[in-house]
Amino acid sequence: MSQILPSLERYHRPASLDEALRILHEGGASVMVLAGGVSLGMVPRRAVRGVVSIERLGLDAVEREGGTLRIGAGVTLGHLERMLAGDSPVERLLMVTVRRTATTPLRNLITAGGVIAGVGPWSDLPVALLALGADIVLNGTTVISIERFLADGPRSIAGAIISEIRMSVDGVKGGAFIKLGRNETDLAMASASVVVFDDGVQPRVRVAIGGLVSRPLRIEAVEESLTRGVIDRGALSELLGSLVTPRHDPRAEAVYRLDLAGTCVMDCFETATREASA
Amino acid sequence: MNEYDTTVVGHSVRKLDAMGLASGRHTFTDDFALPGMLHARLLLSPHAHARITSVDASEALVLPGVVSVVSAANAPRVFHTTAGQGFPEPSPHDSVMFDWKVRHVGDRVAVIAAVSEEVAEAALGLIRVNYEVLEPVFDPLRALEPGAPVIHDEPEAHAAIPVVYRPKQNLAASAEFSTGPVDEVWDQATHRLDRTYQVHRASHCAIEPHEVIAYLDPDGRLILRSSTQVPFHARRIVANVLGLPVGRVRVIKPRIGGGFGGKQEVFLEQIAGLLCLRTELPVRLRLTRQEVFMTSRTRHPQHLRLRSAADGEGRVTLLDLDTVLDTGAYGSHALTVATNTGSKVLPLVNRTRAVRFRARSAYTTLPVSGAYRGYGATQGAFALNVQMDEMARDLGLDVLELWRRNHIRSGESSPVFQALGEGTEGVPMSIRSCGLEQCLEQGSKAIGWEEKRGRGGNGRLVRGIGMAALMQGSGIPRIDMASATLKLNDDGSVNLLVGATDLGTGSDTILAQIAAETLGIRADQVVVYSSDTDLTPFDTGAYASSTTYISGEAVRRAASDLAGKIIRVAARMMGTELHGLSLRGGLVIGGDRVVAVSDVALRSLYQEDQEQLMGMASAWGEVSPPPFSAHFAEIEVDTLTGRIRVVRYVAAVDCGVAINPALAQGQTEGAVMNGIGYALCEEYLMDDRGRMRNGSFVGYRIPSSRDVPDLVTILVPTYEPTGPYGAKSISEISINGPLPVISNAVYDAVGVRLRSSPFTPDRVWRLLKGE
Amino acid sequence: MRVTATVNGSPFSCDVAPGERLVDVLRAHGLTGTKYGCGSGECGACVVLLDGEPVNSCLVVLPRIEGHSITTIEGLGTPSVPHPIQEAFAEAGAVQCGYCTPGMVLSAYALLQRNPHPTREDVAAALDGNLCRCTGYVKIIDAVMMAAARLRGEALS
Repeated sequence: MSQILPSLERYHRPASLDEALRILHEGGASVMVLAGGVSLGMVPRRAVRGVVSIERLGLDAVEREGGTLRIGAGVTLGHLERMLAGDSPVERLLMVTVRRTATTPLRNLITAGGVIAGVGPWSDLPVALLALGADIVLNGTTVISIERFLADGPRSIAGAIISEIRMSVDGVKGGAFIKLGRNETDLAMASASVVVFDDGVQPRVRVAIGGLVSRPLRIEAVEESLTRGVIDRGALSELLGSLVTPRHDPRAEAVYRLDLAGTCVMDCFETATREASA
Repeated sequence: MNEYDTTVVGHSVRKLDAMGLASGRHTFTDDFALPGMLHARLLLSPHAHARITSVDASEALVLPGVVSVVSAANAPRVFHTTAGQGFPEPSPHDSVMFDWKVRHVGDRVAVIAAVSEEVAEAALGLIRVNYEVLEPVFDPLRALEPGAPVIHDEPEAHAAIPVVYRPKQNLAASAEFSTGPVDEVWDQATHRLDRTYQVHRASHCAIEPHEVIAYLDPDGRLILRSSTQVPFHARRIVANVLGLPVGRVRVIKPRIGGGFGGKQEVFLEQIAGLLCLRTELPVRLRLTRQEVFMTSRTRHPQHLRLRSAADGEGRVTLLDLDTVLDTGAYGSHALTVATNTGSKVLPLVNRTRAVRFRARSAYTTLPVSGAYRGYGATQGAFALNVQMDEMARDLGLDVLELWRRNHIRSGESSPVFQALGEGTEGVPMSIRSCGLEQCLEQGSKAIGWEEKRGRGGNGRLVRGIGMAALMQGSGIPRIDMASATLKLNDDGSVNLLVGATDLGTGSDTILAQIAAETLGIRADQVVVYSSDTDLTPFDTGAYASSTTYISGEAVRRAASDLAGKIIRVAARMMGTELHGLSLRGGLVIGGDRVVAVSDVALRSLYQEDQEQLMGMASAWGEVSPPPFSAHFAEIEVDTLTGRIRVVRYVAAVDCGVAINPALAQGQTEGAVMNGIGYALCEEYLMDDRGRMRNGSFVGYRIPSSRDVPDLVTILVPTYEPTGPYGAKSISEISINGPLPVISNAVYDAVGVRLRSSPFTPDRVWRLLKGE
Repeated sequence: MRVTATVNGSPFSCDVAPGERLVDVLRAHGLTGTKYGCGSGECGACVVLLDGEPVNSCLVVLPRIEGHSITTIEGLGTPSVPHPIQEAFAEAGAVQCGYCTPGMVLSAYALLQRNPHPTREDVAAALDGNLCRCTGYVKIIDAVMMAAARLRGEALS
């Protein structure tokens, strides 16, 4: 038999967040948080001596409260897919995004918290969450914007546990997520999400792209021009090129992926606008 | 019609092992653990080309649990080919188990046997290897140039048969022939094309990784339970490499989780066998998925230059194909894939005045090429069909019409058949059955050829259709041999023992149907055992589309042999002449007199003139009747992203009489999807040091259920007089279609000619931009 | 560490290192219908049901199943008393080499538990984590549609 982590000695299954955090702090770098476990095979095999499972921390609920949708960090994407309702633009966008993420059995392992912790390759959901302007709750108390969370990278979760993702559903009128790989279930060569908000004063959009660098990026620079309808595909791709230097991807060159990201943004914008005006 | 009707053949009998497999009960190689079994792991080269100056395993050997380490320092050095072919093999003998030189990233440096996979893996990092890094060669054209680094500079590498083999020039194999006045036809032609095509490397991706378990029986014989397509070749090669008499080796093939040519390669059995002999313990050697990509075998990439000429009447007068194959670090199948690139393609166009063919297989320091479903025909059919499409447009003809005016027909021969064999000259052959015309007709109707062709459009999503004409073979004539043994049981059932190797294709079922048909019993009364070198008679193995045609004929003859003996006993029981007796519905019938086959069995086993009634026969292909096929597809190009979507795919196939239509469809559907994946998304992504960047199913994309188009298979019935019950083979041919069909359909849609595969979105996007 | 769970409806417990993979433990306990294909969750040959949902058992460390329920292909039916999905796979010609089949059947089972009226697209989506190289998926989707109809009690044309 072989082991995912041959060095693993301790499997902690704490019943409270406090206890989990305590174990995490005491263990230091050799203890990691275990959610879906999909990324376990990707960490250095001899480095991890202990894991802290989040399964008993009660982070597995999807709740709608007032104008807020709250997704527990331990919710698997498969469970999320089954819990989402098709009657709100936010939930429709999340559903579309989840269904384009990984495969059916993997979605039953991958958790909402896991994909935003950023260690796995299946980072489709964070693109949509960035477009939605979601917030991340750490340790049950600290709330930070996903934008900030993603920008800070791994250091934002060192010694911490993501407990929840929450977002406002008020004002969201339409949303779209599009990605393209070599086949239907491939990782994104480029992806985008666009969300149309309208609080009754002034419609605005938020734009995020994925697959070009190691994390999703919000592209504020195009949001206004998209809203005003003064940017076309060519200009958009050029603009992206001036803002982003794509990381190396052996599948396709940077110039193509920038152009593709631009096309994904335009397609998302059209879809989201259509939904918003429907 | 009742269940005993003489129509077992031609019916979609349920695959005999289907329920055992669907319930997870059938055992594969890995489903068989032995007490005290050691686990082996390979240490693979990190360098594309290097000399090993030293290997020090002392640290690894002191790690608790490590039992044995083998490397060039202590392995037998017997030059052989891993190609798993007949004897003597046409592939160069350029391999040893572990050499002092590594020739690609992933080449084998050492193997460790330990008490667990963890220990073996941990020990890999403790072997100290010093390398003297040499200049790599990643381009087969460059490899053939004077001054290129020599990849096989060892003096022992040699060819086992008289063929061209020049390792000092990195030439692993070459073949050529010419007929007719090539230059004259070219010079005088009114329509000429001279184009270059490139076809890429691919992995078989059988979902079961390569694996072997080696153990000793109580008499010290070496038993290999292996995921192999060629048990008898494996036995011979392992015996040779390990210095054992063939009789001291037994190879057992359990259920196999797919092969597609990849498991024709005998490259792990000898290593596991050696570890087993050294430790006297059972040893399991299973490749990881990454290792399957890196160190097993791949499809030969090719650079094909094809020249063709045609006259104003739409007659193709010349084909001149010159191709260079990248055989990678070793010359496995280097010659025969090369010759098949011509022999399974050029005869399709059969009104020519001249044909020329040249193929050279070049060593490079890249992953090893080998047998892969399609076997050269995939590569050649791409060049030919894309060029036929272009020629038709030059001539102002519908490409279907161009094919109709030029394709080979029943009763015709081709000089190519005689010129190109597999290591020797070929075999002259005249086509007895050819349903290509009907394939073109029925396939074009099913796709809507007339209505849909040339619609194009200026929108973002543009549709187009394309087609290709294909052929393959049915076994290797005068080389492949199969045999079968049948024995009659008390109840009239029979045991069928065949060396033929069912690797998931359903050949056990097809062979049972042929036996049942001949004996007048039901297929489920045939108990098939395949294959085990101790228990089943010889068969060259499952490759070259040989099983239905050659092994099927062996089974038909063996069953006839047994039928004759049953009838002889029955005639004695009835007190009649042999003449006029026949087998049907489990009975021997002679006029109004009837004897049950079970009574014949009981009498023979227990009562009078006692003997075990058995049938035994061998078969050998005198010819290799090609299956023919026409493929069609409707595709949609997203002109902004370059993404190609296959909307509908039609494969019309002539495989003679389909012994089991459902299984024939299954072969076709599987081959088409493999071909679509090859055309659109599967690719080895290599870095500039010869390392594969995507050695996993995340990185190397094969189609999933979400990628399946509307896929239609049409079986076009013909009757092949030399085949068992009129059958030809079908397993390979349909993998050859998608590459040219999709390329031609993209041209039809957007006017862009794809001559290099794969057709990934970024490449299509570039071409659409005019780059 | 000791892990206690339910496997195919029966109590199951064993002592393992915490990093052991579920696929290996199941196979070591004789449940060899769960196959190894890639070891990294990409091929689906090792799919089992965890509380009724398909998961890649090569990515599940054993402590994760503590207190949960696992169904393997052996728990679904036997060759003599097969589940209708297994029967349909055999009948539709959906089994070639059979290496992917146990995982396919379990993914199909989970789908039909939730959605007794799937479209071909639903089936294709539900099976997208189970790679098959032999069949081209056509007859596998046929088989699941056939099984769905039978489980709904519909007569087959």
